[in-house]
Amino acid sequence: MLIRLNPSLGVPIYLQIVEQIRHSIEIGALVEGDQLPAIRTLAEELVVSPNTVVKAYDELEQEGLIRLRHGAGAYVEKGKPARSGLRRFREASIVVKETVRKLRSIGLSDDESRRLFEAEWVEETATR
Amino acid sequence: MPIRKVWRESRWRFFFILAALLVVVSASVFYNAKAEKVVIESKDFHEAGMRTIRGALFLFWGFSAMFLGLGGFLRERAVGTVDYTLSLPVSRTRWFLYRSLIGALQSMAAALIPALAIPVIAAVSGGDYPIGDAFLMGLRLGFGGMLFYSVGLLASTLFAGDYASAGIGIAVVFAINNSTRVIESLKRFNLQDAITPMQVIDESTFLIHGQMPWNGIACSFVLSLVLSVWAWKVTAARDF
Amino acid sequence: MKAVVETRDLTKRFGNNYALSGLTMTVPRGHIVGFLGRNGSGKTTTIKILLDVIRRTSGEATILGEPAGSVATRRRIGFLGEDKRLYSYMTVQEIIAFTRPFFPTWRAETESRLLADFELPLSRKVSALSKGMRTKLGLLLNLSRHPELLILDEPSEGLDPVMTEQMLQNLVQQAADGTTIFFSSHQVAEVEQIADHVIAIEKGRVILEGSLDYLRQKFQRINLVFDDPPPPEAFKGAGVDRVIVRGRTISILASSNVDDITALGPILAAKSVDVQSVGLKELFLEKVKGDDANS
Repeated sequence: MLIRLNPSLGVPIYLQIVEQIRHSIEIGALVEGDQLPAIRTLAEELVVSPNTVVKAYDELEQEGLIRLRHGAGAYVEKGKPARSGLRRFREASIVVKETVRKLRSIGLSDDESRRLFEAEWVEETATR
Repeated sequence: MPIRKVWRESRWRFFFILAALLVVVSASVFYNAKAEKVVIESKDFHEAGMRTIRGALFLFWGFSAMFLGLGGFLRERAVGTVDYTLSLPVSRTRWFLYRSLIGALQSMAAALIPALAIPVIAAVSGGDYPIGDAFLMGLRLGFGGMLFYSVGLLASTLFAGDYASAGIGIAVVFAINNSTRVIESLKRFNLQDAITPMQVIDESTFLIHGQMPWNGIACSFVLSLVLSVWAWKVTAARDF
Repeated sequence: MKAVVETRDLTKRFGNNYALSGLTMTVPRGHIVGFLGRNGSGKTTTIKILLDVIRRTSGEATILGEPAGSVATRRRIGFLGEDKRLYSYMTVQEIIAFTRPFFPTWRAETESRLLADFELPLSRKVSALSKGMRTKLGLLLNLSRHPELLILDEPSEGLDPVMTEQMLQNLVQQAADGTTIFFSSHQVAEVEQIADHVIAIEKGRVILEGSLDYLRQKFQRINLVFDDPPPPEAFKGAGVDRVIVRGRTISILASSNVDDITALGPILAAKSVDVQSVGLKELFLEKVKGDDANS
């Protein structure tokens, strides 16, 4: 697992680790069942305090992405989402293309369509 | 073991001093025994022995004992190891005790061994010198002269740098010795006379007869203990 | 016991000069703590007082619950000085044999493993070792005793980058075994790398203390751009540590109340509002400058 850290960013190192492991899982570099390095091993490899790795693993466990098995290491729990980022965008762009064509055929101008979308998103966010 | 470290750091200096003293003592005995004499008799060696003990051995041993007192934490600070030594779970007092005891034993040995060499040299050269006398004199020198050792010990705790301590130590030893020889009112404190009181030494045979007084030696020894305790206190309280 | 080292109002005077003026700090157990400060800020003085190499003028200092100077406590700690000097006349083997008996928690397996890892020649005299080798030897002598607390004074001083990395890795290893590491450094990068807790001092006093993550999240820099910047006084308030004006930009270092301060942007008609995280170097320099301004 390739993790590159920048300790002089104002971003806590443990969050950088969390982000990079999360990203690895999202792009499929780590899949469900893969074993993560032991806390001690990762700390030595990255040359960071073991407490930092503990925090990162705890956070990932909280997010449900990994599971720590006492004495037996850490394992990736949830694999990548059903769709990879690339696939998601590809699917979405197909939906958008279709929708735009449909709205135009109904007779809406692009501005009117845009306003409809904005209203829908605001309402969506408000009800969430 | 801490005591082995202390011994190791001082042994070559001790061996060198011992060797030098043996050379000095041998030379002195021969010189005194044979100087201007046509026929050398046994009593010449008695005289030579006594003169050596009062003269060459006293003088050179006095400075040597002072040198054996040098060293310690200030020297370690100069070479950079004092932090390591003091970070070990050994108290300053224990270190000081080891150093002062080893130095004192070395000083005593440096008095006894050359003193005992005198009978050997005399015998080898066809004369004689009673071993009992030599041993007694060596012992008295060692105990009485411990004062010089403790001057060195104290100087090493007060002054950083071997040269500074040695210089001051030499000056003090010199001052003690000479002032008690020259200044009338101090003459009774003369260490040389305390160690080898001429009144119990037979003028013709140069051998000891009668009882040797020990109070002079005892006073000097007590004084050396006082200086040593002072050195210990300085060591215990100092910043390094 | 949560704190392995505690000082309270620690003061040290050399003649007329105060090397430490009321230093109060706590080194928490189980962490890697960076003791950050400029040259001459009092780091080495503090460490020497903890080891009882020098005596404090006033205040208190304790290690593992006992007053600094306790001989028994020194059996449970390790120390590596800046110079990393050891007895030059001893060989590697001899100094290991000399040191071993002092520490009941010494482990022979650690000694052999480190001897092999560090490739230390047993029969070579210390005087013939390079500084890098001496550092490794010093580490071996300390790590083999598995101390509860390991104190290091400028551990990477005089070492090349490879040796530094190796040393930091060994410290991390030891921390994973439960040793609390307390190391002084004037290099921010090093502290940011392996420490999870920092104590920064300047002129013998603590200017910053806390877990690095806490400090990283607590301090933020808020940059507001104005056509016509208001006077800096407009921004004085709770949480504002420093306000700097650079042309049209007003940059605020905030230690709290970030949301309220950020909200001042639109209220005062800022053209743009930007919140950035603050690294330790920037934070440390700001605190030192602040100290200079106040003194």
